[in-house]
Amino acid sequence: MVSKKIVCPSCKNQVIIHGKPGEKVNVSCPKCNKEGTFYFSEEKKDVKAVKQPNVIEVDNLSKFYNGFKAVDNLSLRVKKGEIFGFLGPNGAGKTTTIKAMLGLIFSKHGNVNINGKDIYRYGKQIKKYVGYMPERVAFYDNLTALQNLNFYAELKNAPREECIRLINEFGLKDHTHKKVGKYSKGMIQRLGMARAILGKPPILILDEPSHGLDPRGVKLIREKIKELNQNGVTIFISSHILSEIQAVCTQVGIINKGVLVAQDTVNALTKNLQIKPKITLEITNITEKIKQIVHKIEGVDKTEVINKKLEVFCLPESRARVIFEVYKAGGKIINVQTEEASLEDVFMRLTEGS
Amino acid sequence: METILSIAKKEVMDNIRSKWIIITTGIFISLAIISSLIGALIHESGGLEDLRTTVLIMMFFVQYIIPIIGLMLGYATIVGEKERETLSALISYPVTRLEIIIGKFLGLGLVLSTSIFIGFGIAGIIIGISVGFVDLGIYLTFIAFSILLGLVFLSISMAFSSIFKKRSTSMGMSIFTWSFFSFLWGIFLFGLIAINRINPASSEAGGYFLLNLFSPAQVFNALISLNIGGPETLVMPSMGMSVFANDFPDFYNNGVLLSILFIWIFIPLILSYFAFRCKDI
Repeated sequence: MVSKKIVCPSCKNQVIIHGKPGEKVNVSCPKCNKEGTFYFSEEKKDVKAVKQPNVIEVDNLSKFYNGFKAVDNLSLRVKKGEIFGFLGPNGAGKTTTIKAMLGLIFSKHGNVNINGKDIYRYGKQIKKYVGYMPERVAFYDNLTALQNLNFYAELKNAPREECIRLINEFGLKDHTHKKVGKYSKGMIQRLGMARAILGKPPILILDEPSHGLDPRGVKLIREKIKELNQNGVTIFISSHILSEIQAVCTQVGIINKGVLVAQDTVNALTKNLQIKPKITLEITNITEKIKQIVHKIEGVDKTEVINKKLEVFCLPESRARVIFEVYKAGGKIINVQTEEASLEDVFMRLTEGS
Repeated sequence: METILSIAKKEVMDNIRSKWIIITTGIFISLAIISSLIGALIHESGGLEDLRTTVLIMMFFVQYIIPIIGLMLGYATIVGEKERETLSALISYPVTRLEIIIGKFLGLGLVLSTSIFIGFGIAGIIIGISVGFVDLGIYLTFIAFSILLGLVFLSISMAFSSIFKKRSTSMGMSIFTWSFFSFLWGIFLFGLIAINRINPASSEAGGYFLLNLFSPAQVFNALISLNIGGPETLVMPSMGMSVFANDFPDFYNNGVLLSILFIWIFIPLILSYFAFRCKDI
């Protein structure tokens, strides 16, 4: 029970009323008899304090192939509603990790839980909530696109209409009744994405989803990922293409030689690794003196002169000061370019020597 | 159960679309008609021979051809899907590996049975129209035994498909299995008999008859000889020697023979499941 002091809008009389959160109470003012309703709002949740549950939990996973350690004691967490980018060079162990997450491969070392349940023990139950797009998408070549999707729809108890809707959505309407064996690589990839989201799974695991797609296909899939995420779908994407991850992901895990070397937000990673954004000034009359002045500005990390261009590594808040100081020192600036800290820098730093 | 049926249905559709079912049915029709014509040639009656004679001639072809078709249908079903990468998507769906094995066996078994039934059935109707349907029951029994023989080899090839990591290994093992049961085992038995100078018609040959039953194709032969051919049927259990059906020992009866075929269906299927259950895809 919550008590609330309210003020009558007409006579300004104060009344104390009682109710439960979410309840609507009819109130009449004891002084002027004005009637009204008061809505006890739901208890406000502190947005920061709300902890989203982990949807995917991988604990101490190791996988050996003939003595070769493909994944080495890897642990990671993916929270509900995240777009998690799983980044690593080719052969780093991305696909192996994903296959273990889906129960496609077995390991004696480590556990995988999805929605808090062990994938090996509750496989069939869990997989109802998971959509997967494998690294190499393949279908039954003798069957048409629709026959293929209908088969998967049956396995997931999804309505058949959804298959046709998805085929249209992914621009394959004219090829609905064509054998998948006659599809191009890009078309198969689109159909693969359609298969992954068939049955509206709340968790999506995509292994190199843009592989083999033309730019339009890449854009289509990227937009689809964002749209699905806005509808609450948790998405796990593996890729070796940095721009793909940077464009959509909220969290990033970087894997190298089977070891997870970092897991954080893109911003936190760049910050922790002290990778600073860059501002480049093109100055016609550049001098060593200007460089010295800029170098002394607070927040400036490094300055370099390349071809009449002054490259300054500094935090964004120091940029205006840099331009001002150069101008004050008599530098003739003809162009300014800024560059944000990129995942590429993080990636290169963390996977050095591989 | 629904999942199993969906998988079975997909296998049937896949084989219809790939025209497999049509090709095998065509093979079975020609086999029956050719056998009938051969029968007519032997009896010099001209035209198509009656169903009973046709069946006995067909038996010689069927014991070689049905195993090939059963093996071909099954050898790639798991390993082929693994190599073509359709298996990973399938397993990522809410499906257990047991359901995949059962569904595939049911689907492929249905493809095999249907093509045998339709193929031999159409031929039977053609022969029946020209010479009369006197031995229809015999013909249906023959079809049923042929289907059982096919299922045995389908099951064996599915086990290879689950056990081996490469499609080519599974194919190699299937070819070896076919040659083993079609003639190697017979040559081996014949060698045993020749070395020990045993008269196959004597009671000393009991052990030989028992070993003979290891081959599902020979079990099939014995079933046909017992149920269709009658005691005077000349059977050739192995290369270069012949036995009359009335020389069969007592344990050559329908109960024992059919049980052997069923064991040959179930054991490989169980093996197939256990190999597939812990396989990395």
